[in-house]
Amino acid sequence: MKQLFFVFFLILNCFNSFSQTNTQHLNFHLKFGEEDIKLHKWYKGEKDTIQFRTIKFYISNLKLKKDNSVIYSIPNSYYLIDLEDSNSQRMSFNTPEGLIYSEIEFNLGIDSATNNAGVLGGTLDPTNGMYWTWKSGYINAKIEGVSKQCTARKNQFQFHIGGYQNSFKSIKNITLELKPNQQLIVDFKALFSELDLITTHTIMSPGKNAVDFAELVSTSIYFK
Amino acid sequence: MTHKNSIVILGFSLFLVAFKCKDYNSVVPSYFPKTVYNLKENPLDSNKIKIGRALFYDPILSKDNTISCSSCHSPYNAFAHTDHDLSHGIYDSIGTRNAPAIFNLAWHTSFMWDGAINHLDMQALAPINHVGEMGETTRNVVEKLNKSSIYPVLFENTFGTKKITGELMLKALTQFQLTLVSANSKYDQVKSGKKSFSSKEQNGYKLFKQNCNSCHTEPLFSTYQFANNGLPIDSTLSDFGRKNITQKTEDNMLFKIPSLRNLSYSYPYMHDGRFKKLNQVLNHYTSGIKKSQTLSPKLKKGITFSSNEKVDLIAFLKTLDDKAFVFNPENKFPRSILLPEKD
Repeated sequence: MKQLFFVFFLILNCFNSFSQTNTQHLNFHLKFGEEDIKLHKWYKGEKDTIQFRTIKFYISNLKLKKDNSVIYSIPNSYYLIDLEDSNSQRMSFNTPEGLIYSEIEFNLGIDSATNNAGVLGGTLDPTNGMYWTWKSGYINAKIEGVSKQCTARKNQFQFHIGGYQNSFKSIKNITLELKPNQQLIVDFKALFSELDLITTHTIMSPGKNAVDFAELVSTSIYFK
Repeated sequence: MTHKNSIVILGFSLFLVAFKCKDYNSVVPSYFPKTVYNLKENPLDSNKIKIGRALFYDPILSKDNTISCSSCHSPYNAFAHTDHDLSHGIYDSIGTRNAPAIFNLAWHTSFMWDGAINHLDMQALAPINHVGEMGETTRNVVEKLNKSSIYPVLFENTFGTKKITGELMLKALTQFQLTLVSANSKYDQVKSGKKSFSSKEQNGYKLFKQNCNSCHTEPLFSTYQFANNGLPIDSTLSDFGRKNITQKTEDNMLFKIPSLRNLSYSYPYMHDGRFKKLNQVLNHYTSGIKKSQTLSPKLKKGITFSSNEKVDLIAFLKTLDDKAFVFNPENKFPRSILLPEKD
């Protein structure tokens, strides 16, 4: 058995050296205005003062583009960005050597085919807390915390955004032009300036509210 | 990418272990349709089935180690629960529905009375995480399995890794459930030419084909679609069925059509277990249908059976009892794994 594995590794390494690849990284910066978001720290927004307890979201189907056309799709690209795990905020992917691209395209969330595919592992494993158990489907984004004005119990807001079926698809496709020397950010100050936590503080199921919220999150992702 | 490499290595080591696949075709009759479950994505393996069977009977899946899948899905009841109209779970909680019988799951397009679950692999997440069923979290169950004295070695020998994940646990549970095939009733033996119906059963079969087969379609005895069969709503439950999931008014009071196989073992009947006897069920269809916007079009013109016809129809329905399935020792509590010291 051991020898077989050794031979197998040898073959694998040979393949690796024939096909030249580059490992690249793309960092997600979770920001509140100019500040990096940290757990349990208060942030003063335009309307409200906010603290975050959970920020988790899926980025999937990463594609590299040039002149509006896809030149390379990263196979099996499913990233779970998590405020509590700084490694997760660094998306790594392999590209063929010498690939030049100027835009990136990705999904915020998990597509319908993957939602219907049965159980999957890695970042898609249901133990990651991003899969609903009462009704099948991935939670594309989970944002929880407290705010001074939030009228929910213990001032807690909970947004579990998902839904992959016809009228309530909350997946968002995003294309961004790469800006050298700029950071890829998710601007929660911008996001929360569009929300009124007095009236909207809890979204826990697929529906129109989730679709609208997903739209807000997607417009808060940009290079800056 | 190390992650990718490990998947390749896992795949390779799986290839190396003796691949003792239980041949699905050997238990599935030729007149069954193609499975909905894609067996190529989770090919059956006797060791994986064994793990799935242990998990199915192990109360480790519940918060306080009191409730297993088999608590509500007992083999002797065709994997249903017969003592109560509404099934009960952890801390003596009473649920809102009657636990359905489970067999022939590879042909189901969705799970639960309202189709909330879209894939057999994902089904077990619902009872594990439900506060009134097992009251656990998936993550905690996986943690307990990793610490147990039984499972890490079983997973290592089978999946090539000691590290149990949610994915592997659910795949193993699926494997066992896929083997719960009920296809050896008298009806099946008649179908394959080994037995013949009595005259009563034959007449019942004719009545069945005229009145029931469009929803409870043979040979599975269900289309596994959703329908409103005209049950008056139970105001203590206010269960709107499929509508709770889709939010669509046209799905109000629609429930998943159950199979008619193994009815003698899986009483009481209906999503809320309101009928204890088959006679009550037939009486519902002949005189109890409540008309509403969403009533199945197939029930709009009404069904009539004489009392003799009801006797014959029930005689036929009893030919769908699959004793060999219900008493199959391979489906029972796996004593040698879960209670080895008492062997």
